[in-house]
Amino acid sequence: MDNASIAEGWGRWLDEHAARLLLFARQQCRLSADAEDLLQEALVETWGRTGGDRIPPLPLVYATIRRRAIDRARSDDRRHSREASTAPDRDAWFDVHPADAEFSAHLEALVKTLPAIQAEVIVLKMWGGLTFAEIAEALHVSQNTAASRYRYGIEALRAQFKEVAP
Amino acid sequence: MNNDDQDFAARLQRLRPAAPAPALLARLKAIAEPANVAPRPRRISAWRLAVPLAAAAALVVAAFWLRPAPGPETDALAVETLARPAGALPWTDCLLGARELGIYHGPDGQPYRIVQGVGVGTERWRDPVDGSERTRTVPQQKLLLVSMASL
Repeated sequence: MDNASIAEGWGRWLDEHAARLLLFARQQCRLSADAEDLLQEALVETWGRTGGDRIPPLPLVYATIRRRAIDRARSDDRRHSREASTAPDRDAWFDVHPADAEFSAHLEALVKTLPAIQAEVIVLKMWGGLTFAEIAEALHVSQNTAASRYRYGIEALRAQFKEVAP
Repeated sequence: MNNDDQDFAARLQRLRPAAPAPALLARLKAIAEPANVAPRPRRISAWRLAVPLAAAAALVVAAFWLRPAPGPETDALAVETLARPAGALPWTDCLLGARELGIYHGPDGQPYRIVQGVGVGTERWRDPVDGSERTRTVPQQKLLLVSMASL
């Protein structure tokens, strides 16, 4: 396969998956600007690990985003606490009809209050395009663990969610 | 999950993740541009390792098998280590000379003279096949400690 075909295939793959990958990166990070850098770094790494001529598997990309986010959080804790108080994040997680804007904003806020281990499973299952088996692979947990975290997370979200009148 | 949770989950699934900004998407797509692809790490073929290793192993084996055979023992100071053959008759020692090497102070604090004795030993035995007497004379060396307390 020549370089042009490889680049074209990569572009099509990104057209399909970039949004969900960015959502996961945003869930893993505190600031959207960090999420974009994180996503780019993770894609560079996974592209390189697959030899630069094959589309990387989605679970691998998600696992790489997560690992890099954890590394970033460990090294940048002080910077985040300063910036979070001065630069409110305004990049919405979802593209929604204006009528659903409040619902999605409310949902986004509630997901951020969930334990991280539940929030990441919900994001991967709901919008990440992964099965529980793939989620288990990406997060290095058992399938049962992934399913339980998802179930408890959904229960917690629904219990806290207050319907917003359309 | 109960029905309420399932309905709630279905509503969540109808949401669509926000698309990345065009500038970000362009940066991500550029990752696959040939100029941005890092060179593949050079993989060393197993054959390229196996050939020199095999050659080195062959040299070691050849050096071992082609080493010169040990020659006959001619050292006059060869230590008495020969195993006596079966059916041996009493060994005969003949001390030809002795020399003093030094003084040794033992753990008891007493001095001992270190004496090296050089001689020959002859052993005789009966050949198990025809019963004839066989002899063998070999040089010997012994180190003796002679107490100086009696001097």
